[in-house]
Amino acid sequence: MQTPLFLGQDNTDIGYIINILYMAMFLALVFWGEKIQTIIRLRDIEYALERLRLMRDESVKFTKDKLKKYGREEINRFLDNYLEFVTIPPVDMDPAGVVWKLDHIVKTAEDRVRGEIKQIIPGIDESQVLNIMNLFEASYALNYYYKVVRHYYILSKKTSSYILIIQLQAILPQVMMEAEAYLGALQAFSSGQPIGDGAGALVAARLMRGGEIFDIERDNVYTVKNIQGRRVYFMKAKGPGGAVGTPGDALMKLSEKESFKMIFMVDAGLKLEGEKTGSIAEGVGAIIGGIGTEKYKIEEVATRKAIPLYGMIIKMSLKEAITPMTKDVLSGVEETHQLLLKRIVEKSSEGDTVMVIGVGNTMGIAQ
Amino acid sequence: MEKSPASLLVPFYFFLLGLLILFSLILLFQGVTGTGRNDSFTNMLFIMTGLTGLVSTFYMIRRYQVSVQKMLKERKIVVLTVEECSKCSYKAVRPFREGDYVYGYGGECPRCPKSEDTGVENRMVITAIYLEGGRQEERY
Repeated sequence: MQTPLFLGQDNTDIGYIINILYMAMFLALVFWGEKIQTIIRLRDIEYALERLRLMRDESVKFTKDKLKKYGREEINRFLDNYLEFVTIPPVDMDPAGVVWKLDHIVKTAEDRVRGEIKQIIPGIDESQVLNIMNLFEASYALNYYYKVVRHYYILSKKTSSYILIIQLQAILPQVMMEAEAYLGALQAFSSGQPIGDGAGALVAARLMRGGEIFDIERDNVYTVKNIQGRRVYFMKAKGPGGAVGTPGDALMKLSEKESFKMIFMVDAGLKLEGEKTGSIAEGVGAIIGGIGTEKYKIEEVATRKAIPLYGMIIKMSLKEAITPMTKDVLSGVEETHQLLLKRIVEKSSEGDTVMVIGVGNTMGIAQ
Repeated sequence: MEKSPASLLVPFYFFLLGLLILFSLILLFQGVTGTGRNDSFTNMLFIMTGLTGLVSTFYMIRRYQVSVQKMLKERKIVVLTVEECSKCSYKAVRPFREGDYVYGYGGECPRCPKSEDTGVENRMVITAIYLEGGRQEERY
């Protein structure tokens, strides 16, 4: 019986060609193995970059379509300019007072954008302005992701830096996940639907119901209620527009006339993979995200006046935080509401004054 | 909006796939007709290689199609609004309408007697707005 020969084992022309091909492949892998790897990795990055570009374009188109109802062409030009808008952080070589400088710069940037939108669309109400700003920010974030990835892609291609390519490829899944979340947020931002990040604000809103509402500082509201003999201040950003407010400023002002026995803060927090959405974590400290200026002010008041800071976090993923509130988050809100009332009674005594701050974007949540 | 450097990649990718299909078809044809050979084993190898080439090329095209569809797929999400009557505690769930917000006012309560007064006191209060289906789909 004849043993079957595999390609390259026989002494035919094809056998010679295949043997040469094998040797050529071996040499190519020895000398250009890394180069081939680089090409394969760059192809993956190119694919992700193309997706980011599509997401950015889709987001800008969606925003412009939504703004058509105002019948102002200038708003589209303003959006195009806004995508390249820069906010320069203050110098931090001498860190003393840097928080106040940063706070000032951020408020100036916000005032400018808010002012220009109002100027372009006269008579627009405040909550719509805030929702448009949120839409702009989503497009801004997607444009920023695209530009940064493109920068490192071109740089790594130019320098043929294998390490740079590996680093870029390693962070891409995270970047794409965040970009997807921003793209998913557009619908909520354009219709003013409550988002997951508003969980803290929703807890406060539930507790504020029935009380007299007062405005305080920029975009904040508060009410005072009596809970089993305790005087409890409930504060949140002013809704239903997509505002986060300035709880630090408001707390500083209120603490001038009231001496708080304790401060409770409720906010949405990013969960770790594997954790359940809507689960609650209790802790201490100023539970608030953002650039850190409001956190600094709250910590400053609490430390100066020795007020204990307690907090509760309602856990969710980034996508759940910036897209319409899910039922799991909503059950977390309900649970936190009950738990908060219990903790207020447990930790304070009759006659005490307590502050409760519901932190987060209050889009679609009034008071 | 400027184009990304990756935008040239797609035509090139399809050009390569086209070449692969052509090459696979030639191999398949040679294997089937046995051009210039009487060795059935080599013919079989040609047929197998041609078929593998065709299958993998169509798989790659399909994978590309799926990823593009996934990317451009309209995200159809249904957001629900919960309305509650403060007088009789009647609760209704309906799809979200533009302008709804939590603790804003919804429609009139169908259970309570109709009143001439169309003020907000006779309307139900929106107590929750949430995404139907419970959780956000994570793609990664």
